[in-house]
Amino acid sequence: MPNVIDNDEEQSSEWIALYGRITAELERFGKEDAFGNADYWLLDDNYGTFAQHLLYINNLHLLTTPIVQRLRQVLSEFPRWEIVVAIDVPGTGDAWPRMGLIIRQHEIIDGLQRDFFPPEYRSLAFEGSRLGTERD
Amino acid sequence: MSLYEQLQRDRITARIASLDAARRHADVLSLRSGLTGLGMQLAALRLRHALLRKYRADQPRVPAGNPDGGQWTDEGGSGGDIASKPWSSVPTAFASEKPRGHHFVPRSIYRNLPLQPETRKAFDDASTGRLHAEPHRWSEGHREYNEAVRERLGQFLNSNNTTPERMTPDQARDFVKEVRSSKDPRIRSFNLRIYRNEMMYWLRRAPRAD
Repeated sequence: MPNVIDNDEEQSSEWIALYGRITAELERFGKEDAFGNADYWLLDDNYGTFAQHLLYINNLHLLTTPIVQRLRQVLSEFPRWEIVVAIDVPGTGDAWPRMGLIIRQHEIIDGLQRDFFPPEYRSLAFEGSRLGTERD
Repeated sequence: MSLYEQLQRDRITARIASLDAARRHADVLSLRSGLTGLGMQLAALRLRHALLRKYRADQPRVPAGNPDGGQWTDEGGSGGDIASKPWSSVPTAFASEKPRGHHFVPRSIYRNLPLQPETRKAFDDASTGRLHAEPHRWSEGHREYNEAVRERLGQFLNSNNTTPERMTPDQARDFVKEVRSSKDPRIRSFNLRIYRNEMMYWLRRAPRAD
């Protein structure tokens, strides 16, 4: 479960700040596009309530151990927040199940289904990761 | 195959196609009806929740002289001087915002369009407001939603013989209505899921009548 922040002002200011930090990291590695025509899209709607950002990965080359670790480092300033990384590669349609990672300051929840990935991505490993459970 | 058999087969094929079309139409009507119903139930639940909140005489109000003067405001008033936060690498486009929830017209679509300020505001204001239901991890079809709304906006501008520069706030609001009642499955199913999740959240929290 993501953490809840009931105070709107607090949730919003942290959401904005973390949005900027995540964007600054990702801009170094790829391009953003909300329609899947580039490498990633960081959801720019703040749904409120939860300490959570949602990042869509459209190009697997962005899914590397160093980039994931950098995102995790960003969370050291935002310890109650998490980044949900959803894999959304255009063209895979229904052939790939919904999958992703949840990056938290202290852990990474690994919900990737590597069998669907091209061979070069099947051995991806993230330090400090664990498989997700129903309680996540 | 005889001519008679061929005719019989064509008749059956046509009948099946007709039944399929009727069933699809019924599905669309059912989903639209469901969406409308869910929206109304959600509004009713929100109202009920608001009414059940205890009155507090010390709750701050917006000072007189403001457009919202006299209205209740949240604890701490505006209090959101984001620039003073220690982590303030804040994108100015989002500054001083409260959570607005899901924007029916995604900001990625209109952020860089040369819209008039009031037209832009009409899109900015068209959102669900803060959402309370737990987000559904990586199960959303958000990219498809964005693509579909962008396509619809292009069609809307064409059919109204206008451009982003000339689009009026009323036209923006009309377009939002079109999105909210869209039959496009990429749009409808995404919005329906948000309404459904919120409704379930409020249903679980609503006090029981007994």
